[in-house]
Amino acid sequence: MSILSIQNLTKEYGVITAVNNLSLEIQPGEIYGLLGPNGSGKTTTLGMILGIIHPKSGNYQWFDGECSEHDARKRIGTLLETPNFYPYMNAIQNLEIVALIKKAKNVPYDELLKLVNLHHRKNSPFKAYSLGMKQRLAIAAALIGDPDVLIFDEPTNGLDPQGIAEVRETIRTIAEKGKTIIMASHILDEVEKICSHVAIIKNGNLLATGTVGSIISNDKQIEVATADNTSLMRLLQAHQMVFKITSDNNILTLSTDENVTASEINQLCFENKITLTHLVVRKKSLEAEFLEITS
Amino acid sequence: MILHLFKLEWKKLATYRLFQILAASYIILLPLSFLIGKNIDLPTETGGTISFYTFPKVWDSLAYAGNWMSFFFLGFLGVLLITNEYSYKTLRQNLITGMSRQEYFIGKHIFMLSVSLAVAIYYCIVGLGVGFYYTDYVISESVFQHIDLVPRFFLMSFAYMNFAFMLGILLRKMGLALFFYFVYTLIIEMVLRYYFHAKIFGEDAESRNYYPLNAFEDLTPFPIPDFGPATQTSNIFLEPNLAIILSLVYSVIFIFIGYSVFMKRDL
Repeated sequence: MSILSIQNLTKEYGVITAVNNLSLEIQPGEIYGLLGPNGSGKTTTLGMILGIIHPKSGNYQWFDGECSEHDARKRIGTLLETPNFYPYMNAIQNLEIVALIKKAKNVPYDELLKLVNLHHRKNSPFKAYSLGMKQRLAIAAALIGDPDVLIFDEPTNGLDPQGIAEVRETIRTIAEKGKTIIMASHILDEVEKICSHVAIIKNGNLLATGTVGSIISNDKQIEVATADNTSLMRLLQAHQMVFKITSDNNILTLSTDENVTASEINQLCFENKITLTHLVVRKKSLEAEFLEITS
Repeated sequence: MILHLFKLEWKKLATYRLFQILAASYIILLPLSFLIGKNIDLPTETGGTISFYTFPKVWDSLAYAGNWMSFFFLGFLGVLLITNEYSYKTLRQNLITGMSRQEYFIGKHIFMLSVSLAVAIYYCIVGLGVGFYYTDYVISESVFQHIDLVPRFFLMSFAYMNFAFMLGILLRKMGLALFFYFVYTLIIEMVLRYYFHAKIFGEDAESRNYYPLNAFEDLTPFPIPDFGPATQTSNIFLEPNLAIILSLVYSVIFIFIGYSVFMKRDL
């Protein structure tokens, strides 16, 4: 069974194509990151699969279409960038509304509020909460009805470091229970730390998709430099193991096969009478990969 | 499903201060507004005193007072019922949480129908109370002589609220929607009827009374004392049955407009 299957989803706002022909497949248990810079179409995509934005074309299906769209949404917990609740109601009353819509029975309100550390403020109206508290109430709301899938849209935006840590911790705890998580974020670090799969989106186009491991890949980057980089470049270009060389600031950055070691490079240079002044091995971070893919 | 949707709407509003104030105002002001004029003393040659408080006249006069109440308070309620959810973004949230747009729209109308039913019942209770209190010799026939005003009161209340609700959907902002509600009802429609319509169709064209808000108002019109044939002023108000038909037609149109915009729009 697939959790979510998106085919050729497209949304246009006037002349701007917010999401262009996007197709994705999300399987149970995956922690799926939608990664992209601000304005890349992540939130629009989530809006479409959550039924609040009408796509121009294309379609999507939750749970292999085994229930109606809005009933599918009852099985999904959602945490958006801005938590939306009735400002004049307190925490419990707001959660009761969510439970009523989801038709969730026997909701453990007190436990949920304890989990997100809001229990002591459960009788204060929502409008009196700080942003962090609002976000935590939204997490509690997302957990009502024990959903199979959780969607997070920039869950740590605007939170202080402690809030960010709390939210990430909560997401990880949920993930450990085997739930499927879809998370949109522009923070690479967040995606790299939390997600198992990632789709990289820019200007509404899907640029890359796969497991985080495969995107980051095991490609190594080796930085080398010598007094005369031209001859070094010529030497390395002839070498099969080097895929790509970029020159920056008198330092050559080599993308190589994972089997290549620094000592091999060093030896190669030495045999060819080049002494290196600089030799560093870096594992490509998602950030470098991301910048490469999106640039 | 009906009960479930009603419960949801009720839960949203029960703790909302403005709703509580509106409800309390309606409950208190309907009987109070009506105490303004107990009698009209007429020149003796035309028949003496006309009381607004005795059966069956009490039904007409109370319905007219209620017309203003529903116009103000239920119009206000109709607007805030939807504009609040736009500004809190809770409409968006409700859908994300698991409602369909259709369910949501139906839920709002179930709630408005329930409120209309409640005020119609309240109208009935106040009417009976005042009537029995002030009528010296109660003739059972006269008690229920104008009982058809109860369903008309219901329709009038729903029609105002539904019109306001549609404006709320179209304009989304509470201030804007309320402004337009009052300006249209109190000014624009008057100008249309007494200026443009009169220009096109002639001064006395009865069709100038066919406008929506006028039709709603004429469901429970001002109780003109019946002074005999000299006061047959048929051209001022719509016939009750015509007012009912027009109000139903306009309400269906407004629901349809609201529904199509609501279903289509991105949130």
